[in-house]
Amino acid sequence: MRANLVLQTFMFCLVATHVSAIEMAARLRRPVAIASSDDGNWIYVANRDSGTVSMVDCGSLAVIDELQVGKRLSDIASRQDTLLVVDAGNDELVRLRKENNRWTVASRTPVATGAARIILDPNSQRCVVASGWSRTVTVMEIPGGEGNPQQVREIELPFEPREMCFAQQGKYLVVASTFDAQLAVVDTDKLKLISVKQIPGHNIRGLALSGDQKRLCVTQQDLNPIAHSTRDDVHWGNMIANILVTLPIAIVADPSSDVSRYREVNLLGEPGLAAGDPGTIVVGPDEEMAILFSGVGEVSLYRDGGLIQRVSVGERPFCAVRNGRNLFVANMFSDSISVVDVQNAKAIRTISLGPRLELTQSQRGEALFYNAKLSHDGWMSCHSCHTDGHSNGQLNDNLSDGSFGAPKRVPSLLGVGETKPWGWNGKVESLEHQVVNSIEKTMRGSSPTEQQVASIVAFMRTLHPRRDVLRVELRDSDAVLQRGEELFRVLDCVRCHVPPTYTSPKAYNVGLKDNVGNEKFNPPSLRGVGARRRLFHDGRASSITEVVSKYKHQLDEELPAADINALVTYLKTR
Amino acid sequence: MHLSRTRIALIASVFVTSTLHADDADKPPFSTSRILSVIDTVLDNHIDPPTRQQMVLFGAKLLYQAHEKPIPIDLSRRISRLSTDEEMFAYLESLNASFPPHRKLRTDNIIIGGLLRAVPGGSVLIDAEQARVQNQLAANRYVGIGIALAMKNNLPIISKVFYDGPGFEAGVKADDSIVQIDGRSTAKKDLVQIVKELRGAEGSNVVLTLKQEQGEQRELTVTRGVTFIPTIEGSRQLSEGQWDYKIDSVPGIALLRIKSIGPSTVHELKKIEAKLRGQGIRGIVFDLREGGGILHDVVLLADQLLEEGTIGHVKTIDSLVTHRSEAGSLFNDIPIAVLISRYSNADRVYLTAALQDRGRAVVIGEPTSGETYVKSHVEIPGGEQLLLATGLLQRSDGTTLLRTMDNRLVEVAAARKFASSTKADSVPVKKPSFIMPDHVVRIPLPNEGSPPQGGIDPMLEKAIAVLQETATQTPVDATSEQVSTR
Repeated sequence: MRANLVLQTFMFCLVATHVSAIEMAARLRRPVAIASSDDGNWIYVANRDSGTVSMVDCGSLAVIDELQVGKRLSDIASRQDTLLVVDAGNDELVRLRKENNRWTVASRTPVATGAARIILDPNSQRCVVASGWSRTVTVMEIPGGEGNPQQVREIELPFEPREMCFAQQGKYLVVASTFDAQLAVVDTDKLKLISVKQIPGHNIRGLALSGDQKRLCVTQQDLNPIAHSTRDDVHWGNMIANILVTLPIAIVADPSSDVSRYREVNLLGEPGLAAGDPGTIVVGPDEEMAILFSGVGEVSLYRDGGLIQRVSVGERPFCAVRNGRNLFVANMFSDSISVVDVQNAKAIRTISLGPRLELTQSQRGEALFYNAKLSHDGWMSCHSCHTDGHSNGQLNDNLSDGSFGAPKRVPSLLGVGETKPWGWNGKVESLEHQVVNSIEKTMRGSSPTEQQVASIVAFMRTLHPRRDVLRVELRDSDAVLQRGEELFRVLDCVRCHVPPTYTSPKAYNVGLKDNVGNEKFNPPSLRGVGARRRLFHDGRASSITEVVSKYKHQLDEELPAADINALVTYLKTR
Repeated sequence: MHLSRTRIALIASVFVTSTLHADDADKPPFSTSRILSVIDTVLDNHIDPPTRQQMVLFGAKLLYQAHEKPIPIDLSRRISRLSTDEEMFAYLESLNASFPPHRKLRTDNIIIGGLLRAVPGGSVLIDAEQARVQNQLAANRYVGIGIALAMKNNLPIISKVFYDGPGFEAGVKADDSIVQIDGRSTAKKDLVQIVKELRGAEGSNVVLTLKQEQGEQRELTVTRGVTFIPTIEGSRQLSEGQWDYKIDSVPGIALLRIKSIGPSTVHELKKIEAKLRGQGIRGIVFDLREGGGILHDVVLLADQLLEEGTIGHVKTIDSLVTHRSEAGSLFNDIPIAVLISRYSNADRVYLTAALQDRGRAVVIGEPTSGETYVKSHVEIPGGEQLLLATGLLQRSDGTTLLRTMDNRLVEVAAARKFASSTKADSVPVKKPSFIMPDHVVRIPLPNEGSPPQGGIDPMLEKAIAVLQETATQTPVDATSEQVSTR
């Protein structure tokens, strides 16, 4: 257990600030999670940017109350008189209790950094928190009454976890990765990781069990490195496909199974009417299913495996919960809840979560970054490849290197504002130009306006590497880091990867010729390099260790194991 | 002109047009530089180009033939002596000067038509408008009114209305004759003129006056738009645009007839896979005997049918490109049989070679023959494009898939040797430079006896038998049958 994550529970109970409907302040909320009360009378909405929880009365379909809970919320779960809210801004699990019809903050418990999701175990008083950047899921006991959450086990994963669901009557916890498409199964009795499967694709944003409980349903995207970013390949979904994948849960949980033989792929959307960035899946009664198409602002409703209707909702529908005959959909960039009558397949009400302030340029840019309507027919948004500003870890064959035939690794945009020039060959001098290139030549969308480009660039400049959260073994760290730094200097890594950005403006031939003969590449910044799944322009290296040991990148001779470890450790902290 | 500016394509013959246009009269009579541009484009891009002198000789010969003049005995010797650009230019100028204008054709078009006959694998010149239409057709986003047209008794008759296209939506029927287009009569107009009048920008309207043979004249407004033409057909058409892929008489076996391979093919195949899922399919026949395709889309299709590994290679004048398939494939473990014929196009040969070499499909039909060049559209100055052989296809082991009649017998012997070597698990022998089916089924040539009776397709029957045998898990000794059934 890391020193900074020793569990400390703050015992003082805070009375949350209540805001009545008429007093709701103008603010940016950006709802990112939604939960229903056990009796179905209430919908609770966690707002990321305001750090508040909105209470929606299901009878009047109005916001009755709003509580200031934390700094930057990422998820919410409800059980009886308890709400569990994940505050990623403070790395805390906030427990709210309802007393005398008033919600109060009962406790704040530290959780691993990068907490993204929470799920309640249906068979116990436990919950699980997935912390992406920390690559862990934390199992916590939530006692009733006045007791505070206690950590039961922190389970390390080989990827950044995000979506979760329980299977086999709670015997298994299935966890999906944030960037690429990996699925892990945790035995909930033994609290042990029993299986990890890689499936093709990336960006898993929906995870649920089928109505018969036998198959795992996964919404995700699949970027094909063989396809080109031509209009034809984009139009027919050859370059990026938005898909619903189903897999037998027993196969996923079997560590020795070949999951690819049982993978069934269902296309979401059509040429001409694509379904960019598919997200949350809600499985309802009677073989009903709803899938959010986050990039194009729609909910897609299915019955008996067939599409019933695509219903327009707000901007970036991000999460949803079924409540009786209605589906409540939280629209992240509209600060609203759409109420969809599932039976009649139509949106019947839009509930505003409160007045908004005028958006800043970067806030407008964030909405555009996740808007698949910028692309041809709505196949993809910037986020589809640069997942949440980072990278989906895949290869894409676009024209950024001047021709097709040599697919390149999708670069992380974390810290991109300071790493001029752009593009793998370093030929793009302006970030605005790079954005226009991506929209027009990769996403095959219409030409963006100057205002749109400026907004997206403003948002991109707010993205910074998350080096603080990388899981680095810091035992004996000082000496190791010192040696790593010394090696970085002595081995002349600094010639191309110049601190503080750990890149430089020129393109160099470092013996990494691509498929079409390009030899000179701009050194990628090493800031946040520990968070990248694949390295080099074609993703040939799967870790920094491989870069140093297998590929001996710019090394005259093999380094001793201790030096490799020191150099890799040093790089992970950049 | 570099290959990277071109789209490497294996174009179906249906899209190929002649360089010899009947409506040349309104164009400038002769351009020496245009002829030289065509020659230089061939030299710069063709995988195995003829010499400049060979091309000029073929061009000159056709000019003599077009004017019904005897070919001079010393023509070959004279042309072979031309070495510099200036000499070549002067010769072509003098050649033009020595003939009067042709009654129908431009002189430079005749020479270009002739010189392209010297190009291995053949080549055609396509004007910018034709290139645009061909690209739209190949990409399955042809903008028009979505009909096929034929001339019958000097009347333009609609022979087919494509399902869900603009014409279909507007109520155009098959066998309608087009009486007027935007109020202008079609009488005394040829097919080319009528097609020209029907074409227009996406979203624009055209008013058609139509008449069924026994019906009243009627007027329809059709909005031009994209017409989707399926590239995969099934065993039986249920209705317009709807196919049954299962073979009625054979439970558990599906038939996919790949009519062409273009950008929409993978999308179509994914939808078909989802449709067939849960229907107890135990074997799929891919009929690859007819039609063409675009190389890039053939690679995308191969990727969908294969797990991670090498598909094959394409060798061009200055590069060797390796195509690889990624993890994840359609149809999981369902056995696949591929039908192939001696006439199968290069794209089908490349795809079949990959499926056969990787053990994903059992191949049924005839040994493939003919050329398997990669053909590309290469732009030449002035907006025209030249379709010519710019690459050679190779199997994953590097064997070039180019078979000529000269080496045919040697190759067949090599194929038998290869078959026996794989059976005995001995030292691998290089694979043949064509597709040697795992089960040879020959369709007799017209002069070789009676064609199959009652419409029975012997290749399909064999494929069904093989798949049924596989489904019952009886080991199939393919190699022993490889040559014995020939």
